[in-house]
Amino acid sequence: MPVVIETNGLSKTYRGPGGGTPALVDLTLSVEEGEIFGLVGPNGSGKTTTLKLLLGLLYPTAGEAKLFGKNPATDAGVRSRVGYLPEGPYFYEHLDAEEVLGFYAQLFQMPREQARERIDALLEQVDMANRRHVRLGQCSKGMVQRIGLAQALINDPGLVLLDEPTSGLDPLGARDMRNHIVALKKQGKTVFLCSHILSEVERVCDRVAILHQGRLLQVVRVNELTGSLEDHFVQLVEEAERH
Amino acid sequence: MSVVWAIAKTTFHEALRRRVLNIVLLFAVVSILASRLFSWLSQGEEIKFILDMSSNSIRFFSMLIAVLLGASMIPAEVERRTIFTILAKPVGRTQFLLGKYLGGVLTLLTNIAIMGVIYLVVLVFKDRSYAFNATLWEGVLLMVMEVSLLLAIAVATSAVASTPFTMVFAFFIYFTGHMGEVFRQLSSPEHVSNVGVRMLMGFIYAILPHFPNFDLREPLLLGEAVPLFYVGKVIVSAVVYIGVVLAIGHLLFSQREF
Repeated sequence: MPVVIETNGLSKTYRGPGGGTPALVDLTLSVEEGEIFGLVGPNGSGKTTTLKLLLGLLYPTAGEAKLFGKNPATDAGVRSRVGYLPEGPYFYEHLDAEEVLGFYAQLFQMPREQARERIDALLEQVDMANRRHVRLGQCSKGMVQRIGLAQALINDPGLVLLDEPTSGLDPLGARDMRNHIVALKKQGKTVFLCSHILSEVERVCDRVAILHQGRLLQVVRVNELTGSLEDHFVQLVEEAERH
Repeated sequence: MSVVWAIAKTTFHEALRRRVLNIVLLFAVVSILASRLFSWLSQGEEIKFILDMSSNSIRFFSMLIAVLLGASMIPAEVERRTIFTILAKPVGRTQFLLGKYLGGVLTLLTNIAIMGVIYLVVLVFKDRSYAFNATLWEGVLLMVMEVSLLLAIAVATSAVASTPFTMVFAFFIYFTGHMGEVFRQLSSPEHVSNVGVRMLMGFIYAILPHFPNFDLREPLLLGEAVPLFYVGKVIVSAVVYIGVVLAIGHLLFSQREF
């Protein structure tokens, strides 16, 4: 399988007094096309930093990140094959759902007719077709999250990066989001999912990387685990803290 | 270009909904209308009173809008995290910065157009001949360039600084930019003997925008015509200055992490 995401010795230290704070240390991993890859770890373990490095929103202190073989920080074009849903997404409140998606379609320079068709299909897919003219300022958190997913898919990306996609959602909303993620895999897309909700990750991911204090502890294949991911995670983290 | 235009349009639509900018515009409109009401204070020179007060109002409130708008442009995107989803798309940072700036310019043009129409109406009712005075509209054109330059300074600063810092910095540049003559005099041997101080003052004079060059109130009140060459020269120098300021803003913004 072709490699979609590749990091080699990826490191990030935030500047600060006393040499700064290492947020990510020597991360080396690869994600293959068509898999759902989870990145788990406690808060502050470096998950969001990894995502931002992959998107070129942060610059690495050392090492490199590649998407589809290209550096996302220097090659903006590669981002046309990527979709991104940040944690707790926020969009322009004066726009409605359709206008938000129209705005993001314009950022891909999508022809008007193609954008219209894509927006209609996505609003249908995330169950917002009947609420397409509700302004974002009047939407619930679950609705904003669904619009967030729709904007991440506006360009029909080959790779979808999701940061805590079920965070703050009620159980039904979380279930819907899981279903969307599984549907993306069925469409042949690669999904890179960051979360600290291990049960969610275990249900949808093929492989999981466990991060702790910015360091990669292990990459595990979920179907090869003998116990639950949570037990495995706790065991690994406790061992790491003992050392 | 369509990416820049998409960002500019969204910035413009959002700015039109900002209450603080609408309040500033309201004050400007009231101030221009008030110039007509109070013109009796300068008996015999009512029209000059209207021209002076209205021009001052448009300049002052446009300057205020430029600083308020420009200073919050990038920091608001970062605070609300809307910048993450935009820069995660195939959008270059140059395109983002240009889009924000152009959206700001559109907002300024709209506000100045509204103030200009009120100004025109007031003049038409007082003395129709002044409403179509070339110097008056050349003055408005240079005012647009002046506040566009100030907006560029605010946007470029806000690419790396907070809203309060940018506001203070932009106001500082605006007011020192009106004191260019002082720096010029301090850079001459007749006024200062110390070579180092003279060089420093000369350097400040060279890099500061010379805002008084945009001000055509004096020829307007004296009824003098302003050569088109002068207007063109000021416009070209403003465009060059804006380009340099935005290029510096881009250099700073491209290093920034989110």
